[in-house]
Amino acid sequence: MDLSFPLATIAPTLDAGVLHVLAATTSGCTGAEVHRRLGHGSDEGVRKVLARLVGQGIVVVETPARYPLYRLNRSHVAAPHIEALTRVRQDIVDRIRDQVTAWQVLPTHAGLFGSFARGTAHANSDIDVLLVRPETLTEREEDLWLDQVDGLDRAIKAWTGNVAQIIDLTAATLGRMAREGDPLVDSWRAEDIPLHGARLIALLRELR
Amino acid sequence: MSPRNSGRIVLCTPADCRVRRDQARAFIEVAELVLTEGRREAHVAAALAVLGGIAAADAVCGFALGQWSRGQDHTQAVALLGDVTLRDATLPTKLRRLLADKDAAHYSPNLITVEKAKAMVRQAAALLTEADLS
Repeated sequence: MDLSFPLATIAPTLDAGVLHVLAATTSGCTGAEVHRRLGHGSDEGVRKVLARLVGQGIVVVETPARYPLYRLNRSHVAAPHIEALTRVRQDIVDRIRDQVTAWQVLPTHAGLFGSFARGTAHANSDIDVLLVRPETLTEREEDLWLDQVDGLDRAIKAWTGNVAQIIDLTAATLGRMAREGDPLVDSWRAEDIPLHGARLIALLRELR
Repeated sequence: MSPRNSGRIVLCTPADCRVRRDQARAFIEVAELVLTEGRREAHVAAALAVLGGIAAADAVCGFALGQWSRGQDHTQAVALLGDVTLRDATLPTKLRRLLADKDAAHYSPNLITVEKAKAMVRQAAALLTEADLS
């Protein structure tokens, strides 16, 4: 799935892109502004799409000044469904969080990082997950842990079609990487979307 | 067993499987030998554990199904292992995590620690145990 443009899952068209732009704002946009925010297609193509969507009633047009302003018609019966599709990124975060917090062997910290966390992921992007596992696990707990991690890996693929890249490490390894200045730790620190457990910043401070 | 038409699944004989199992044992034995407290050696052990785990899984599949995966995409090998009636039902998970740990190491070599390498060797050894019982 294109994680920055989830509407493309059902409609990889200019129409869906225009709806995506309008769903992201409550204010009206000129045709040129929609085209600029969309970042592709032609200006004329965008205007034709806007005219078509106005015809469907899903977009309303006002002309308070020189140029017409287009706005998503949030009273339209289709609007909540369009908006829901533009918000699937949060749904993915919630699903991952729900799954992790229900584990029998809980991580010390779980978070998301990488392009998905930065909001720049696309159709072929991985969903990067950081898991700091408990320091000591019995053999049974280790099997359970692996089963949980593997279940999450497969669930992410099933939910999104994107591959999960799961970094599974101990707090001791995280601490050592931080002390050695591993650049990966900097990206975790900067991008982390926390899912469960201690805040990463606090954990890193503790491990210093 | 579900039939597969992919050209990457090939037929094998019990003799082939014994050779593959011996390869798995050699990889894992060397992995255990080199596994000291050094991080350089941990990388070698981890790489050998992955090779040993794949070879052991091939042998398990070969003994049970008369075929194994020859593709570069190891997800096919994991799927084939899932077709085998296993004594240890955790093995497909162990193989998947072993392969995932190998991929994760591309992010940073620091992710392969001595402890991680030991865990990877344990996972590979569990696959070899299944192959030994086949």
